[in-house]
Amino acid sequence: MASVELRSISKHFENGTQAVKDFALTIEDGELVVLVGPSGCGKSTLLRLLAGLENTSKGEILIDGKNVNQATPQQRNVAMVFQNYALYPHMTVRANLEFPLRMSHTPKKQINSRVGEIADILQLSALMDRRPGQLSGGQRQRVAMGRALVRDPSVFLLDEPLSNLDASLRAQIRAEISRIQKRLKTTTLYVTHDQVEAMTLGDRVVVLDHGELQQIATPQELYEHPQNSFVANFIGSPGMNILPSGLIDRGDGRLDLSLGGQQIHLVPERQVYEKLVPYSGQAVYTGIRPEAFATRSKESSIELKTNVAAVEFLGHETLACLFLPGTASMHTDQPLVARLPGQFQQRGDDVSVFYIEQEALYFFNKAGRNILMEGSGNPPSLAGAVS
Amino acid sequence: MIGTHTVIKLFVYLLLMGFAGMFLIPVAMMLFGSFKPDDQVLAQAGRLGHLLPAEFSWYNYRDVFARVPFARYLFNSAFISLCIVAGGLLVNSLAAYAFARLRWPGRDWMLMVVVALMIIPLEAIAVPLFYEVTLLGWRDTYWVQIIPFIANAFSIYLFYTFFLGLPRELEEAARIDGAGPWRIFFRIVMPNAKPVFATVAILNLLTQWGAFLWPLMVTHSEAVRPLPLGIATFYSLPPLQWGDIFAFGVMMVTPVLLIFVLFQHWFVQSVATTGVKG
Repeated sequence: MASVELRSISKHFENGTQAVKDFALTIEDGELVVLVGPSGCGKSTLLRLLAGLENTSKGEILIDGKNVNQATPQQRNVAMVFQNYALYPHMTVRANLEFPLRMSHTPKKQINSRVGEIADILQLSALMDRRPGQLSGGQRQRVAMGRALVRDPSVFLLDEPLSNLDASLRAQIRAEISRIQKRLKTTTLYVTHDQVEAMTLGDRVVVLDHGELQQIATPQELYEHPQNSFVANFIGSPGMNILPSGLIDRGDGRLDLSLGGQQIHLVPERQVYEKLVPYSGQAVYTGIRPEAFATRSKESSIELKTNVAAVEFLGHETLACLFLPGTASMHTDQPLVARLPGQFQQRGDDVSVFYIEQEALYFFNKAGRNILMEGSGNPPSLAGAVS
Repeated sequence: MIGTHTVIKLFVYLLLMGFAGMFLIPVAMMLFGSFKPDDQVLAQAGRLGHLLPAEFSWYNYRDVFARVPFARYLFNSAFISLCIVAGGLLVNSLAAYAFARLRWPGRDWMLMVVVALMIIPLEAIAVPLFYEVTLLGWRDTYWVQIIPFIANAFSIYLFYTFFLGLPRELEEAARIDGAGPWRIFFRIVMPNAKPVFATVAILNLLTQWGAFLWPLMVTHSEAVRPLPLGIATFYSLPPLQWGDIFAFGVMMVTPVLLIFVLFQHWFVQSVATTGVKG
């Protein structure tokens, strides 16, 4: 077990691509941190830099306080589970598990006991004489984890380890990874593009885009207080709806929000008002989570008139695709998505009214920064009375 | 009533059988001729009805051993081919691995040179190569028949294309597990590249087993001469006995045929995966 520190890491490839830009992260001893981001955002490169499979262009990597920039993967004592598992196809499960210990010249007796122990933890004992080609996806995944854990690594790296599994198996193995990590307390960096995995597994989640750090926070903080529109849109399924809008200061602690041709009166808390007022008369982006839409009004709700373009009934909930005239979603050019409990009945072609609590509104400036989080850790609440 | 389609099909099959016969009849003539008395071999040639011998005789085989040192030729061919194949597998696979996986200055240029070398036939460089080995004092040795043929551009290219297709993660996993470059190559890459090793081995073996021009240029003693030169001695060894030549031919071909049959599964698998025509 060890702590990991990445200091101002940058990585340029020979073809001119900058995969990682000035990235910094500290992982505490025994912590499980999830690195999440879309394909090509540099998350796997970061993992490879930490593993020693790539060299950094700039910055320092410290494991347990020691600079390991020049160290080989073995000297770093890191273990890695690859996306495609990278099991040695010509070796049995036992030989795969033994391989890292053989490479470190571990005595035979110790190899046997350690392999037996890991096989028990991962329930592999019955599969020891099979080759990877004779195993199912889930079994291969467990062998890959076993091979990584067998030599008791300082840092455990997982590169999208569940992406080749079907949905039900993914949930099962996810729980297993969490259980094993908690049991062994190995410092773990887990890379995924799946935000559900990130939210369910990580003590902390690191969001990355175009090689740049977007936010480091607990899953709950990421969901509730995204620092920018990218995080807001990326975290959540479906992601946050982000719409072009405008704010006008009415001068008496009240604001008018212009959204899709509708004028909505806001009465925010004083603190919120002060953060939003500088943006009066400017274009801003308003964020609304799909689950913030409601069909019944509450005291602090605002009213949003929409056309329902389509409805997807999912059993326990309904996804409604909404259309606001004159508005396009900032990130996807898709209609707004509302997530409604139970079954939502569309009432013909008429305008449907949805209610959104004021505190569920997010505001982003042109650069995509969360206006309510500017200059502070957690944002103030927007809750107030509707005029 | 026979339809036009059936007639065309019949015609096509007859044509194909004719072509197959063109290739198979000489082989059958060699095989069956080797068991015929010498005076019947040429006399009955061209008459399919007399393709099979009236009675099988081992006379020609015994005669081969009596007239030429067949065992010596066989040993020489086996030793030379084995050295070339084994050395070639090692050298060419390592070279290809360096091209496929390592980063070094001038790699792409060197690869282009290797690819270009594939189109230069031995005949084009035989004379300069002859001068070179003469200067080195290697003539009439085993080494003159082995060393120039260990490095082989086509083998490198075959290995290179196969290694490119191997998942890089296997080697990276081994690196993380603590294996060095040599261990990665011998413990991870080689066992997963058996089909291409088999293909290269068989192709090199076939080429070297039948090598004639170069051994003819650089050897003069029977002590180091391979089988193809052995068979050629019959043409200058009166009386000219075709039965002996056929028997020699059968004995010369049999070992490589057996090896091919034994390894054909890997060979076919590799040809299928690398897209290389044998």
